[in-house]
Amino acid sequence: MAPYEISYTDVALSLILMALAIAVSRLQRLGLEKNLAIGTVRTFIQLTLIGFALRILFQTSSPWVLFAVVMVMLTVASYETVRRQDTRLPHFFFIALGSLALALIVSLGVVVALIIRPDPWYNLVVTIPLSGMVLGNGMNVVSLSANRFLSELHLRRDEVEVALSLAAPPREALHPAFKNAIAGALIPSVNALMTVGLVQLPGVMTGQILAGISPVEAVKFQIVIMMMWVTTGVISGVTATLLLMASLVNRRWQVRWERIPGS
Amino acid sequence: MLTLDAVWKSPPDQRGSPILQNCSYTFEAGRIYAILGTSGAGKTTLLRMLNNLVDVDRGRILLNGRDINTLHPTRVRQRISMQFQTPAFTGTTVEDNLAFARQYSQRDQVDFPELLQRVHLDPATLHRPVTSLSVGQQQRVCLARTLVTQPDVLLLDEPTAALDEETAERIMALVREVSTAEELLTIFVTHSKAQARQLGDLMLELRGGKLQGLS
Repeated sequence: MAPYEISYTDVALSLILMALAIAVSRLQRLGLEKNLAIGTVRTFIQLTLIGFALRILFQTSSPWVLFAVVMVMLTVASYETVRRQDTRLPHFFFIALGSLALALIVSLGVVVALIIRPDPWYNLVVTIPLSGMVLGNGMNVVSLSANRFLSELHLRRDEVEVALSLAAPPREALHPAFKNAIAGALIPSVNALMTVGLVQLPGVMTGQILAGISPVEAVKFQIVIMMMWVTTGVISGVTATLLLMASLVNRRWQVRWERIPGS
Repeated sequence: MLTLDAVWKSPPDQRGSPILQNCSYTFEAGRIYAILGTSGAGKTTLLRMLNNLVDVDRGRILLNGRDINTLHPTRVRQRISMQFQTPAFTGTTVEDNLAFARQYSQRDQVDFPELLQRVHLDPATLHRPVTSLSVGQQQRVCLARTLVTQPDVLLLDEPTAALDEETAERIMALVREVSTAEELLTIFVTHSKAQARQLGDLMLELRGGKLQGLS
């Protein structure tokens, strides 16, 4: 199958679609025009720059480059996670950073060491795109689960206090809120697992097919990426919410309600 | 015996005058105390403090002579039980709720049907979902749940606030019956002077940062 190549002019033609989206927003008075326009400009600039940056990076070969790039990605992802919170929480940047780093180490470790086995192990062509995919989902799950956890606690305050007053440890008293927060945050990931291939063809696979790789081969990679993607969401969401829980409870098993918005 | 030793406590939002200002008071075992106070006086915060759900700002709370902050939280809350203003549940059925409390008590065996009879509920209620019960019945389930740990102290935060007058009277009569039978130190807060007079061995008022005795 011959790969398709598109020019920058062709890329620019995709603006027709965005113009259509903006027109719909205008017509329906959704007020999204400005954000759609800014988002479009940012997409063009950010992706073009990252394309060039990756081309330069891929020509280098050092584990330190991988480490530096991953640290930048982790910092940006953690900052973005904090920015998406409805309320400022103490240490939340570090909670996000720690949980995303753990999830990345586990999932990238398994895929690099056991499945793809690149040579050298830190081959940037493999590790950087995978890290980006993984962190993207981790970031979504961490911010969703943290927001949901706080609103669940607010809604379930009476239930939590009753459980604590019955001598339940905080881990148990807060478990219903924790469970709902994680389950809610993972809905998009679980739905993706259920419908992948039936409804949507994921971006990576679509890209590979368009670039001329056999669909059978593209699917293999996609399955690995899906496993990685979901597991990263679970590990980062659970870790972040447990750390958040720990930051909201003191050693006398009291909940610091003053830190929870609305309580 | 539960003692407040020179306790200071500000309101949760840190606004307004302190709830307790250098307040010392000893609640004797086996007696029923009614604490009166205007809305917002800090009655609920006082009970939450006694249950160690919130810290004192300064001072100590002593349970049988020992500072509750030096005891493990489980130990404090097994000995001091609290019933809240509105029923809140820790399981779907009545049995789930009682089993939840038993899980964190030091008791291996609790006779749930007998426990329900003690709070004047039909033992057949055991397998019913708590949402299918009336508010009065739900408060009885909550009361039964607080008794699972065999506490020394029972704290009640306006447990009849959401009930009609007749049900409220029945619940409070039940509280007195249970407190007397179990020889509990019972502290209940209320805004109703009539209820306080009717059920309290001693009436106190939370005012000006102190607990003041009322005749």
